[in-house]
Amino acid sequence: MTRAVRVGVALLLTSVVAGCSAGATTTIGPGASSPASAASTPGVAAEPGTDRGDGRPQVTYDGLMVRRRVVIAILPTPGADVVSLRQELDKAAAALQTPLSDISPSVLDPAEQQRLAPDLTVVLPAGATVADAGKLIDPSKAARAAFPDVQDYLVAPVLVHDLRFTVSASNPSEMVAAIAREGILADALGDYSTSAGSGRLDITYTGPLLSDDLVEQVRRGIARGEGVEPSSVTVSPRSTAGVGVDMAKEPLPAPVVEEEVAAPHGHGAAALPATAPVVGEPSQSSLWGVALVAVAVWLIVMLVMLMRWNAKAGD
Amino acid sequence: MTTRRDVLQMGALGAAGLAGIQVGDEGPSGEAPSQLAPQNTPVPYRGVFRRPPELVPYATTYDGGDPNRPVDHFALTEQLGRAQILPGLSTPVAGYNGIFPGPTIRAKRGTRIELRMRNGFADAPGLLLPQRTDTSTHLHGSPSLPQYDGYANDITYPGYVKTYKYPNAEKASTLWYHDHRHLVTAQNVYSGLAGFYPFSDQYEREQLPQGEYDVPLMLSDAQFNPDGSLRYDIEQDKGLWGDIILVNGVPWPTMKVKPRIYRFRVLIASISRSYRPTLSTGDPIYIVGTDGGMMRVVQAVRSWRQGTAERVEVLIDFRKYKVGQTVDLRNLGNKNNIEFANTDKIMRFQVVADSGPASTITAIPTTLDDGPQPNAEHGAKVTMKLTPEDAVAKRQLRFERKNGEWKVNGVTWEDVEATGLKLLFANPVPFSVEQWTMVNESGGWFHPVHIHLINARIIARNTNGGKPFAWELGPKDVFYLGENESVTALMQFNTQPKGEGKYMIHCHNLVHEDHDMMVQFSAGNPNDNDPVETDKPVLDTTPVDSYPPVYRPEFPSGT
Repeated sequence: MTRAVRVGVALLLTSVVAGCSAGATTTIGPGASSPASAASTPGVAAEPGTDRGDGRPQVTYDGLMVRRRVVIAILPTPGADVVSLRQELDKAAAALQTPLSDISPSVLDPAEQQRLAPDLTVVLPAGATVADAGKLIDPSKAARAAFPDVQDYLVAPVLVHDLRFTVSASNPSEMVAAIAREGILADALGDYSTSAGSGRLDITYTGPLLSDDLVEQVRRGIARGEGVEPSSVTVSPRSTAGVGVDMAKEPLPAPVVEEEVAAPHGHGAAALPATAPVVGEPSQSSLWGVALVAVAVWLIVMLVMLMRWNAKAGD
Repeated sequence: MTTRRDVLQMGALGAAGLAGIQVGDEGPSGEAPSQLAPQNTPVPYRGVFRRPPELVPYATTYDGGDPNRPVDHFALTEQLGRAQILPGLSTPVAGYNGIFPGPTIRAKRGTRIELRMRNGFADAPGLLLPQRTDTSTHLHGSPSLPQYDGYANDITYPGYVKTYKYPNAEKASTLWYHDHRHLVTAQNVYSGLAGFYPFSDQYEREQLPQGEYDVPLMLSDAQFNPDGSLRYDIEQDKGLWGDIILVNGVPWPTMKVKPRIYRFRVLIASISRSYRPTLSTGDPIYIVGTDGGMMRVVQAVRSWRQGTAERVEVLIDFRKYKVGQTVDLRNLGNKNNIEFANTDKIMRFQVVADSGPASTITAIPTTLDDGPQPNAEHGAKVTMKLTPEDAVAKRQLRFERKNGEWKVNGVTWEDVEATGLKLLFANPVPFSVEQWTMVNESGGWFHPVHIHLINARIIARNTNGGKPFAWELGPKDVFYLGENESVTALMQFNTQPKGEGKYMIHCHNLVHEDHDMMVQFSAGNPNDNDPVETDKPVLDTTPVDSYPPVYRPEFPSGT
């Protein structure tokens, strides 16, 4: 349930109970705004600007550092051998000369990711199209029969970061080991590749978009391995070929719309048969009801008493 | 999807509206910093370090009158109190004996402990929700019987008492006790219901620093209202990231240390935030223990990632620093957290002149001997020697977010409750070994996953070249699943004698846990040791002051 709906229902509860109490005020946070304004963004669950949650992070490392790619996300049948499925996909992709790479499912739009929750997500090479993906995993019966372990799948164009971090390194191999041991890049990037040259280390990454803060965290993580300032770590496109993306012009992905139901489902004793309190002990949910009803009754009684008192005073 | 949690929250909002209570106004994510006036805002490193007081048992008895089978008896009361956390303001807390962190209970192998836990809260609204504070106490890291494991639905109501029985028969490790009452665990822990339970044996005592040089560090974070009370956004299900870092309840304290080797038991008691501690000097920190006890090979690291409920024991060698020098313990942060101006700081060490008796160790060890395996006669194996060949089953746990709900393999704790608490994820045979893979499929979130009862050996990750991290090379009961990460671990289900029954598996981001990201398994017969019915809390008819707390003498201020 969204904040908007929750606040709205809470206000309704409050107003129902408190409506007879002249001058009663409600204090909820300004972030809640009003139910009317809050209702303008129904069902949205996103964490815009950050790497937390499913919203698009703030990205200024764009242009050639952001690319359009096509992915295939797969939900296998229950109990399917994902490793074997991946091998079958690779075999089919090799026949089409379309090599596949693993990629994090976080590249998907959050709504699709939550809907599908894929166990396997692969990215096609740069320049490959949705049509190319379709050839690989065609929705026709014949093609589906080739992958009987696929329960559901999605072919989608996505945005990825395609980055190269470069730093001077006195001993690149040792630095690779030091970075790996500390694990900062594993946490921030998941998978990454290293290329140790003479006096230089390149770290490349293709995956979900990183926020600016996370890019800086990666630079700090790399710099620590050599004992230099983070500014010594340069960030550039992994490749200068092709076309990049201006993130300022990119529409936001579809938000996750959380299902709303008319009647909330069980939080009462019926859902807790084995844990119902001992006789005389109210359940947590019934406590709520009792508390709200008690407050309402108290307010009504007070109001009646006040009216009677006013009437007597008038007499 | 409207969940039962939402119903609870709607009631809270409604009631809060009636009462004029401020329930969080920081917008949709709940991550706004504190709203303190400048004079009440703590400044990093000005606070004086302190350790939680150590509780003395109120009695010692002997099982069957046998002097070789001692039982220490402790008593705690969950109650409201006030803590001095902020300059110029006091903060209401709901803690064990009314303090935060709760009293430290030191346990020894071979001495059982019976902990009398009274819910001393009033049958009235609690600190953070306008409802009463029901509780359930979990000793995290102990293979307790199911009825003493803090089962989420084994509820102790205000005025009731339950005596928990802890075997203390495993290897030495850092345990902690905290509340586990379903739906309100996050609020209860955040408001103070957490304490240390260091558990020692002869092997640990012989090889690692003791006494003054054995220091518990409980890390947590918080947000505060202008009046000094804790802020908590009760209507969101993502987590809470505070802007003020507390160490043993003190914001960014300074600790005086002698030029010696210190042992720190680092526990993350934040309800959501994870940390990456590192020294400002860039010097190595030596990891000597994980959740389940000592590492066999000491690991030198420059930083490590640590999530909620994970315990990491480290050695820091202050002998290399000059008297007067300061060394800061900083937080480099991890992905999917929310950082504020000073969340990159944890605490400061100030080196002072040496004094007092000699240290218990004089060099950083390279290897440690954690002694023979307890219960080997019943088939128990050394956790860190488990191999995939030992496993009789492989299972997968998928931690998901679907339609705005946290789920494990598509199941919520509400689903478990709907079956009369019968629904199981797995039903392993006692003392069998299984290989479980935990997968984070929830998008941009991390999950520290806790499996009750067991210790496990991590054998694989889907990052880091497929290997566990250096700080995971010891026995574990919490498994950090970063975004899109998976972890594979081997675990043995070593129950106590006649100790079969149900245990929980959940995300230890306590907000996620409260929002039903929890399932259960049974080691052996799920009908044995019913965690709710077997040893119910009873109405406490003893006078409130029947067990006055006695604490051990404290170390000098700031040490």
